[in-house]
Amino acid sequence: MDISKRQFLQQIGVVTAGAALVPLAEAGIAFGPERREGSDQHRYAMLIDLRRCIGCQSCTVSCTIENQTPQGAFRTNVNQYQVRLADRDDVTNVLLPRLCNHCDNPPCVPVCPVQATFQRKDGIVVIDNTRCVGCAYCVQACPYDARFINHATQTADKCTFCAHRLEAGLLPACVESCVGGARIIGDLKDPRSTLSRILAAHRDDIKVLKPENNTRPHVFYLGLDEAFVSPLQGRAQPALWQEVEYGHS
Amino acid sequence: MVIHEMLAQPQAITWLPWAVQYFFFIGIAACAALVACAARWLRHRRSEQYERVCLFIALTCGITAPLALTADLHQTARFWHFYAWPTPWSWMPWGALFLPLFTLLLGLWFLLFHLRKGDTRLLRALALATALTAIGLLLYTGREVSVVRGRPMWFSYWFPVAMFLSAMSALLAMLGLAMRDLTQRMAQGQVVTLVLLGAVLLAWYLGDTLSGEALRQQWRLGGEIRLYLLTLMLLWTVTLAVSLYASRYKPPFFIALASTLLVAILCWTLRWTVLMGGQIIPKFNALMNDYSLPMGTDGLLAIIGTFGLWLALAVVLGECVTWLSRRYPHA
Repeated sequence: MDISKRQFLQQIGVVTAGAALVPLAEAGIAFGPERREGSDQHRYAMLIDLRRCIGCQSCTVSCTIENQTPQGAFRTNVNQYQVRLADRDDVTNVLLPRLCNHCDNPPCVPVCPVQATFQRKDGIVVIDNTRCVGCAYCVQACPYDARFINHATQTADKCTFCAHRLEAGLLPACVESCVGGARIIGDLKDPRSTLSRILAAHRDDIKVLKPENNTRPHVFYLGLDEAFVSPLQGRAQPALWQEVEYGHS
Repeated sequence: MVIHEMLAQPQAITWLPWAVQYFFFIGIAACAALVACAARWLRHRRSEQYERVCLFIALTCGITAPLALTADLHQTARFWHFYAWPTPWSWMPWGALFLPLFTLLLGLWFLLFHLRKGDTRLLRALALATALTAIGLLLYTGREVSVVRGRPMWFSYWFPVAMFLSAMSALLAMLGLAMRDLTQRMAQGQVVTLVLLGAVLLAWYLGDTLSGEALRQQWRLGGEIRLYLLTLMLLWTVTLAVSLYASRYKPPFFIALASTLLVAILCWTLRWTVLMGGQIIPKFNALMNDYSLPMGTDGLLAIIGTFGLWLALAVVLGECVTWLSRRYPHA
């Protein structure tokens, strides 16, 4: 190949400039949040089979006991609705357990100004509350109201899928206490897990909350009516007693 | 289908009135720094007067704002974590860079200006650097809120523009009051910014966006936010009328003062509506998140306290300038 001295020098310049970036990449300088801790052999997720939920709030209570959240603050709870079809007189109850969705594209993580909240390699979104500055930016960014400021620690708080229990080979407190067996936790990377099998069997009936937010939630619902997938404001009527109750709390 | 929500957990408000105070003061401080920079670079017979007043406003507001901001952190003493774990992909930590730089550069510029030390080139460079940090502040405060899709009302490019224009109109009102011989000129500027602000707010409300839709829904539902929007419309109309009057005829002092206060209230109410009002909109529930202003340090006292701090700073700084000019009469 015929190459002039000038061309050679130009090309060597490009190579040198590129090589200069190698240590930068090796140093692990990140330009976006990275997953850390946990094992990438797993991807934890939860399925909530609404056909089995009786709205007993056992999950709510056991979670507060397990995770010692302050009074009035919940990492999970069960919303309750009464639904009546327009041409019918009878009503039916709809129960909707809510918790952190451990999204694959969690909007709470990139906003954290100090990387205190992060996603583990197994998909669980957690908070390092020794680092959290309590700016509540993540609370604003979460579209599911899954986060709150814990006034005992003055830092952000949320469901962790009871990561500490999972690591000890135990089920999360809400799953353990669910009387109807409505909450199923499992590993999506294991095709033989109960979770994977149920998800595969009911593929077309599985729903997530607010899919339009592109958060890719990993809490899946079975038996959820389309009416409850998106926000209810303007479409549902808050019960009167509830407002009175809240005003006194 | 009729849905009655029987049991739901409302979300607590986590960005407190401190945040509104921060957005109010930092907007005015940044705009004042930009005008001061323009005065330094453009040769005009009144340049020095503009620079003097703008620097005073920028510095007093620029010290008050970050204090209000740190109070909004639930773990205030951990502010140093912003520097220990730099996170460039989030908008918020850019504030940790721009805020101290802005106040520091502004303080230096203020000092050199009053001591008549430093040559023109140094002051010009300082002015430019400060203006750049001011642009950074306007950009980061605006984007920090408007990237939050979780709160559809905030998710709009119009937000930073509205914040800038409202802060600018508040600044012009303050300048008109501080430089009485220029009241008419400032009022003319105010008319322009208010008309632009009105156009931006209208475009925001009518836009075919998630945010516009959220605003229109709140108007239809007719709750607290509709009340805020009505208040904003009323304030905007009154301030525009007063500005139009002041741009023609020089108003007496008390009218100029009332006009300045009205514009400041408009600027503040806009921030309250978006930041506090935005948080009472539920993300999933039908039930609104309840908020009533507490009397203590997380509520009324925060608001009065920050305004009091600004006033105290204005008095102290004013006295310092007077003392300096007496001590160095030829400076």
